[in-house]
Amino acid sequence: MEQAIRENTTVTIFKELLDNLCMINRKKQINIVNHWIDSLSIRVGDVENPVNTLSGGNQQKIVLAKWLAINPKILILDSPTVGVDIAAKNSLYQIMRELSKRNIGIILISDEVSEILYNCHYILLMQKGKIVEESLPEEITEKELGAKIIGDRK
Amino acid sequence: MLKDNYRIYLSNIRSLYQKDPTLSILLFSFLLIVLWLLIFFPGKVLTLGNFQSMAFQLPELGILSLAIMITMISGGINLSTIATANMAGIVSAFVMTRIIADTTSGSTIPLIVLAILAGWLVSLLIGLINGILIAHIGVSPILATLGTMTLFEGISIVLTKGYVISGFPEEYQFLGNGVFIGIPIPFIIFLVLAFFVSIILRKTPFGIANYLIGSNETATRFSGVNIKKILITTYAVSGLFCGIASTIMTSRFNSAKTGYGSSYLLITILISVMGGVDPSGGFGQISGIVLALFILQMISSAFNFLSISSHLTIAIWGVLLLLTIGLRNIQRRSL
Amino acid sequence: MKNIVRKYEFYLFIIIVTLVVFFAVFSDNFLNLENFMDILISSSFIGIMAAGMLVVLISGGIDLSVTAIATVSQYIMAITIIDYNGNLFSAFIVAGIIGILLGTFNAFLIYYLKAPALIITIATLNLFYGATIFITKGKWIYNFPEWFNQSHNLFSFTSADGIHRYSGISLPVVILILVFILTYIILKYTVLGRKIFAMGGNAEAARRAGFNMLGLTIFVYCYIGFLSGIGSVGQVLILHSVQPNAIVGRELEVIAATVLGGASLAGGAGSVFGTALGVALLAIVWNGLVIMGVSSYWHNVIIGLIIIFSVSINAYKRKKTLRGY
Repeated sequence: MEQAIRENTTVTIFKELLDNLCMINRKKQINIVNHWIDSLSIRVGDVENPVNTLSGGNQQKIVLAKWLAINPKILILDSPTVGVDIAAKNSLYQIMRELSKRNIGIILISDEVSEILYNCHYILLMQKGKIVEESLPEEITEKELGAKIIGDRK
Repeated sequence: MLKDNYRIYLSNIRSLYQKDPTLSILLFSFLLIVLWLLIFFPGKVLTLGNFQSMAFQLPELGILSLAIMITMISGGINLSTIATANMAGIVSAFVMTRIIADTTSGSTIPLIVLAILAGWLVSLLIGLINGILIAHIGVSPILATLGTMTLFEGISIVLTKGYVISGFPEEYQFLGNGVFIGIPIPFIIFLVLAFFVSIILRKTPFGIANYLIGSNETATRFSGVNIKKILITTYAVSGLFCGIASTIMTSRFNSAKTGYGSSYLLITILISVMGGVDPSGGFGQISGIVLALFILQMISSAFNFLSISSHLTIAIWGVLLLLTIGLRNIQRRSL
Repeated sequence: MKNIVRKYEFYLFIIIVTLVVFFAVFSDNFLNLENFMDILISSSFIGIMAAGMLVVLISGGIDLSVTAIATVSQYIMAITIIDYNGNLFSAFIVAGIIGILLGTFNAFLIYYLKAPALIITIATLNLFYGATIFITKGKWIYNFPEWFNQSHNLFSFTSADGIHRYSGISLPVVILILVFILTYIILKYTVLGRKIFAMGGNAEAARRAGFNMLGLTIFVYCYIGFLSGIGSVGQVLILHSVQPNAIVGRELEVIAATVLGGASLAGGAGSVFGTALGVALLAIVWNGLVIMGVSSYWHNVIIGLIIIFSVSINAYKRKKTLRGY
């Protein structure tokens, strides 16, 4: 948390930033970091600042950037908006939609009904490690989904 | 006109301080101490002769500090540094004096190289053991290194029966006592090592990963970093540095035995912490270490000159360590 | 977690029994009452401090300065006894108070400086010890009054061959047993004990639950300080002298005994029974090796190996349960 934003954002791709001497190319690193800061609209003062100077939502975006940096085909997000303020939440949803449009598969794991219902293309309800229900979001209401989640918890 | 310059000067200093408070305080302390020595001990402590002897003593402390520093940055600690160094020294000494006793055939250089490498190999192995205990088995660094410290101290005692091994070839002694362009060789070795460590820590994935691990091991693990490989390497390198330090020490003292430098442990921790290393991990830089090293060496020389008992000196180092931590706290809170 | 600890102590017990059998088979001098008393007496000092170290470890801390505290207590106690007279009781009180004072010093530093207890107590270790040796010049003290030097024993009996070597359970051993009982009671039956465990398990949670962290820290380090003082008097009673450099350097033995007994450096785990077994194991190994004629050079090697093995096993077990593999 106390390490620089610059390092945190690129920790997953250190190998790609190496120059001939096995050292990290600072310029390349900063370019990549700035790229993500722009595309994810992260509010950052200085990339040298420690990550804990960012708000919760922005910190979450850094984590996202960290993994987007490896050009994943599938992204698994487990409760990504917990503890994040509303504005950042919406921003994150926006980003997820963008990524989805770019053909990056996203598995969103969450226990917030509205989050899933209004953002996902397909819903899977799991219980005790098994898939117990599948549905398109259009075919189910918020109330029904909530009931299924709670109701099945006996 | 003067006042404006003064103001600009002050604001420059303030921004320097804000950018890196630790370094600035160290720099300031360094200058303060030099001033103090010049004023109160004119021509007595800061003499050329003393510089030379300081430059000989300082490297072994410095390299040992480097050894501890890298492990502290990763969030751990290496308490077995002195024991590792002594063990390596004893192995080197054995190779030089017992195993290859016949030196009439050819020069002694290959033999010396062999001895040195043997010592380094042993210290590297000890470092590996530490690393495996800590990274693979999950033992806490304190216990792991305390354990290896005891074990290898014991093996050293068994091997030497408490005796000193001495009488090394001249060429070997040259390593610890010779000069190259007026600069003591140990000093050169230390500078080279410090330079490399500095670059590795700041610019390689390995170095940066150490900071990340020290700061938050779990998050780093979840970022796809191979923690095991990195920690094992760090402790192995730490061990190797102890070996290098022991080469310098045994060459300077022309002898090897158990228990050399047992007071060095506190001093090297002090140097690391003063140099900006956070005992909980995640921070530290070479520039700080080097400055702290010089400061302590100068204070040590001054104490020597004043004939202050070594016990009192150690007590003072203890107080200094506490003060440094306290100051670091205050400084962190005010920023 | 509790099940594992219980099982672990069982294994420890088995190992001790095995060792006892081993040594008894290989040497005639091992299995007799006299030797048993020897073992008890020689382990009393480490044992008393180990009980304190257990409490510190459970709370999530560590104290490397115990041996220095013991040394300081010894000196001051000796000076007061010799120069100002007194009795056994006052000796213990004086030493205990010094231990508490130094422990409080440690506690405040650890609490307010917010640095790892390891580093802080390494600093205070050197501070206390360096200052003491500097002031006392490392002199041995052995001119204790008569009443101090007699053996203080609880019972009297003659050993099998009719020669009184040890006429009873000597005072240091009695204190050792009392200390273990006291520690057991505190840890198991008092709210304070529960809080110490909680503090070690998750300090942040404990703080948020409203625990008086400063108070707990002070208690923990004062407890071990107090015990170091008490134990140091016991040591003087055994050796009939104050030897300043006999104690410092043995911090690792204290930690080893406690860790062997199942205490974790991370805090929140450990038991008095386990610590007692740990102390016993180390004492028996040491005693057995001496009796078998193994040179003392091997002492460190054996202890080092024991430590490495036991912490490895502990750590590996912990790793497996946490990850749920």
